[in-house]
Amino acid sequence: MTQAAQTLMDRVPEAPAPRGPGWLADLRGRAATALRETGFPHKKIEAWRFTPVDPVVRVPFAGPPAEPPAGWEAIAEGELTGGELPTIFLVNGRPAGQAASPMPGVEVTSLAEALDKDVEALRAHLGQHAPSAYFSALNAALFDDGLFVRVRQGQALETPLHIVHVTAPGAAPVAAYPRIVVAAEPGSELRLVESYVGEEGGQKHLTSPVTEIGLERGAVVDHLRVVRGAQTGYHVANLSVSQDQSSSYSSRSVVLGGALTRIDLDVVMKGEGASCTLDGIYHVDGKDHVDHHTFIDHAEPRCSSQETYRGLLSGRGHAVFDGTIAVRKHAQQSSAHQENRNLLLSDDATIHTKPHLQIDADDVSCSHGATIGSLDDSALFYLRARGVGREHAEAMLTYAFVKEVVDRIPHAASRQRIGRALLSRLPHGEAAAELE
Amino acid sequence: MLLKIENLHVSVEGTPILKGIDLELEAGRVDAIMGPNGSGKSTLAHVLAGRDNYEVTEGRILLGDEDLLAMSPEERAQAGVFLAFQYPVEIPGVSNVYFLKAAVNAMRKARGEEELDAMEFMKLTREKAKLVNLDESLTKRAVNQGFSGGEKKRNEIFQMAVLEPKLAILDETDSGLDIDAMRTVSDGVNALRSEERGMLVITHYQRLLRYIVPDRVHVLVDGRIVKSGDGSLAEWLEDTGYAELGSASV
Ligand SMILES: Nc1ncnc2c1ncn2[C@@H]1O[C@H](COP(=O)(O)OP(=O)(O)O)[C@@H](O)[C@H]1O
Ligand SMILES: [Mg+2]
Repeated sequence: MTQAAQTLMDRVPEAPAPRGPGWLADLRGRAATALRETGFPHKKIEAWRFTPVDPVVRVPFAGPPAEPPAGWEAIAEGELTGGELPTIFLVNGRPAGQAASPMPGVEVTSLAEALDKDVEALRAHLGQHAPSAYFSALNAALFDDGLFVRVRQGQALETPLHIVHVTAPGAAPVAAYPRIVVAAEPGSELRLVESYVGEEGGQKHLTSPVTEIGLERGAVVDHLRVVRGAQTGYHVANLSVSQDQSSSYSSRSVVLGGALTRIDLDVVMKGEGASCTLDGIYHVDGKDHVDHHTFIDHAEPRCSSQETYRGLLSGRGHAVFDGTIAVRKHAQQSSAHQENRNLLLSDDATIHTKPHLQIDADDVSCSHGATIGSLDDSALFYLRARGVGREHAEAMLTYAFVKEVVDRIPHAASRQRIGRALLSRLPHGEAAAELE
Repeated sequence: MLLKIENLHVSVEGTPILKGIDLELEAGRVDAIMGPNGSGKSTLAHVLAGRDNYEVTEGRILLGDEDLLAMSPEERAQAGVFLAFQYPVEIPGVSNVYFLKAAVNAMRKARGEEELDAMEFMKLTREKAKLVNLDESLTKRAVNQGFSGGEKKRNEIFQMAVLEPKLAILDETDSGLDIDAMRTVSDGVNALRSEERGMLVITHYQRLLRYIVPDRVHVLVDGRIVKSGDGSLAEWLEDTGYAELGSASV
């Protein structure tokens, strides 16, 4: 006899069903055991000090229903990327329809299918990069599908691969645990445009994805990841990237609100001469909570990293930026630059920012800095003294604060839609629409 | 009368800076305000443009017959007030053209005129950029960002040319300019002299006034106008210095 689940932990099986190959069952079993032992994180754990997960783990979110709930397409329309791109939809963590490769040079399959047909390539990455603790362990224990993206050696994709995740609760609170695995083989090039959207207003929902990206020697991956938060939506994600020699990874993270959005982004540069760029834009309003934890590991010499996160904080919103860069002892000639700037637009909004460099090598070029400020009075006066109304001037300066980072989003249609969505969230943003 | 300042007293954080200024300017005239550093020239300019954190403790300012002090900075600009800043502000993320188009159209809207479309606006800015020899590529860059001192000042006069104000206040537009740049900027300003427009040219040095010849010169020392006269006053000052006047006024 099983009792009805009271909390999220009740959903974690003591022994996960023995599906799939033995190594995968082991991985899931270990994750479930670890999670049951530690429990979910709480405020006494440093990395979760400012992330209130209680309201999330109190809900006994059920796994997704077998069929996508009616109306998921309407929810999907709220996503902010793509435009003309062919799209792969995942509804509640499962590919909707067939996840066939939308273009030559790349193989995109559901995890279920990859386990059947391409298990060795998958095994090289699945569970190899992401940690197995807390919510990533939850994902490991409970994911039942996802995507495997494999770009073969030397293949350079012209068109971005567009993936849209839809969380659609239907009649009861639901949790989705997508697992995305990307294998970028030597010398390959991939642009990934990924978008998360959930139902607004209905039942509560949790999206807790784990994304593992392995870049082999000389591979290039550009990854746009957009979360459009919902008042009823929680998004607790882990993104783990592993870089071999001379590979290059760019992450562009855009988060527009959400009751709780937390993204842990871990990049390890474990081959010489690798480089990564981590851009981030976030906006909180109302009672949103948006939280970024990044960790960049310079494990080998001559790697470079450039991290730029910009936040706009209005209403009673709360944001956290916690970024660590580690430069290991023999990782000489590393270059690491980190910046987090925040614009406070309301007295009731809060930001906790903690940039952190941990440098054990001596021949390095590193910098970091964080700022929290409000709109620049002299800039505001300058604009107004030229006849621009106060509200318009404020909107211009607010958007200008993130514009530089928005402008670096390479896919034009996505960039435009994100710019517009940002502006529409800002007070009087429509007045500054031409800025985008 | 275009501008009438009466017994203007201004404090900053409780400290009196302007201590009773009286000044009148007619349309078509160019008056110079000269004075040593710290005498209150920029304070006067900012108060005219509507910067807050200056406290007007006494007096009034009329623009035509309107109470200037009751207006917001944007209302003043829309009514024709223009301040060329001593220190133009850098605004990353906002392009010069975008900003200026917003300004032009805000003014046109306030006057009940049709907004300019992109083509009309481009034509206008191209023409005005020539007037001050402003490199056109600068108009596409973020406002003043990475501009040299001279480029910033030229950009101010360029904006003035586009906005065609009724009252222009030029706050030390000459500072930081070499002779060539000063000549270009002055030519631009002189081209904008007109019967409908009054200008207050604020400067520390007499040399600018060789290029922009004023109708009258007012000398501001320690928050008071201690002497007014015609253009020859500037030359007299150059020889005598402010110290003489400062002590004479006490
Ligand atoms: N915002 C301010 N806060 C404090 N003091 C100010 C401020 N603006 C001007 N002052 C003071 O007012 C006096 C006049 O300054 P200013 O008007 O800039 O003079 P000028 O332009 O003639 O050099 C100076 O003593 C200056 O320190
Ligand atoms: Mg001054």
